[in-house]
Amino acid sequence: MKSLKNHLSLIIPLFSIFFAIEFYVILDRVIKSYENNLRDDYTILLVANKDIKSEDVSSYVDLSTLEKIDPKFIIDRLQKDNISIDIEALKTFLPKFYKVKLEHFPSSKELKSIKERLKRVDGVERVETFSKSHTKIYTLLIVLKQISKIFMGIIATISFLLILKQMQVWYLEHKERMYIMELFGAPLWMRSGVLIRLAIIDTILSVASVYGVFYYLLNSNILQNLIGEINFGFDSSYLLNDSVFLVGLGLFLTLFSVIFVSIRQVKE
Amino acid sequence: MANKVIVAEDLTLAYKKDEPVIKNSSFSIESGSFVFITGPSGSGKSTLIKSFYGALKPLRGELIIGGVELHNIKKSKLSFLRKYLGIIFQDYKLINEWSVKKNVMLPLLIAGYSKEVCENQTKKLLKHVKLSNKADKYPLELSGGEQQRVAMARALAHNPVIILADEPTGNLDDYSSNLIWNLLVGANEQLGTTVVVVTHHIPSQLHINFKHFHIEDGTVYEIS
Repeated sequence: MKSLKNHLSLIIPLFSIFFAIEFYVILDRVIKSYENNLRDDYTILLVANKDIKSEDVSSYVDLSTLEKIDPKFIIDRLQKDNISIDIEALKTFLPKFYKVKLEHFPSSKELKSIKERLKRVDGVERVETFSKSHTKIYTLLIVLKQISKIFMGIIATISFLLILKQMQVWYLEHKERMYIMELFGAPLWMRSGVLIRLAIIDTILSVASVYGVFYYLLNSNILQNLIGEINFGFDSSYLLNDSVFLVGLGLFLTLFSVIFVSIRQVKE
Repeated sequence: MANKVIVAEDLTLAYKKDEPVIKNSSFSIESGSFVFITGPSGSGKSTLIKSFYGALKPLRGELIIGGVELHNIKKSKLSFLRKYLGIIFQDYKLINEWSVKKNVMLPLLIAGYSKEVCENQTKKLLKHVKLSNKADKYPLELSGGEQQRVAMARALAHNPVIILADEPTGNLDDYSSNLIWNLLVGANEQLGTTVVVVTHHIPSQLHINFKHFHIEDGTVYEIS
């Protein structure tokens, strides 16, 4: 029972740090995936009085594709409405229309600057950015990301202090043993062996718990539907890769705490 | 001239700067000798032996143990010195969570010997201190005398250059005391280990040439 309590005292703060980080990482991934979807759907319309090439535009913006819109669909529409026109004359009279796709999905701020820059392209008369199509969901996700970043910072700081405290408790618990080992010339890593072992075990247990919780959440129906809405494809290999990163981070944090506490106590 | 393994020059030891326990003492101990340090309670016997294993840094003067200058040494470098020392305490200082076998093995593990060497050496030592049948017991399951014999085996495990014993028989019955003295004398005579013992009384039954230092009023005197 005492041993379980001992382990939980380190597992809980570690779990909090890992949960906060994993939440942030997944949210970031969702936002990126959502940005990609938006970017694929999003186009800027250019109206020009002469033919323009990709090179003309790419020097002004981060261009993915420039596609000329066939004026045929306008003419077809006019013909469908039985409007009597001279089609050949109209073809020469009509301006050139282009669809511009960008490499990344721009923020509202960027969009204004992009519009200004595109207007500077030789031949461009009008630029339509459809700025209202910037979705509310996207803004919400960005806000959520910022909030989670702040929470992650707070949780990580408090949890790290708790880890240091727990290491101190363990150090005091094993002080006598470590002192005896020191008397016989044991190096720091050997004296702190018991703390290092506890740190490694609890890091692995914490990461496994975080993996389990996120695996369950991301596979649950509610979240599946939600992330399906924004076309976020959940791949469990992401979680596995993240777990490896979290184990590394956890070992760094806990081993740093062990060394920090041991050296500080020895000096005292 | 015999090789000096412990040299103190104008040595002053203190826990508080203005309250020296040992004052301006100079003495030396030759390699392979058997030394008793006596003195009344509170005279600074244990303080002196503490300084020999680096637990107390000299306030002034020089203290050289096995060529290592303890007055200049950094705490992080002490482990190097301690690998060459065998220390025995009055309160045994065994690790209660470890078996007798593992306690004896400690200096060998620190020295980096293989598991097989550790096991064999431990077996021999436990036989030597007549505790072969207690190898898997824990210190708290043993009597005081048995615990001190475990501590003795631990001190001998890595063939130390110097054995430092702080009142090793202070809490023991006659049987265990005799056994400990015999083991210390054996290490000195057979292995040439320098033995420094802090004690209230020099046992009369010992037939050995020894050097005797006495501490009085903070000064270390050489008696014989």
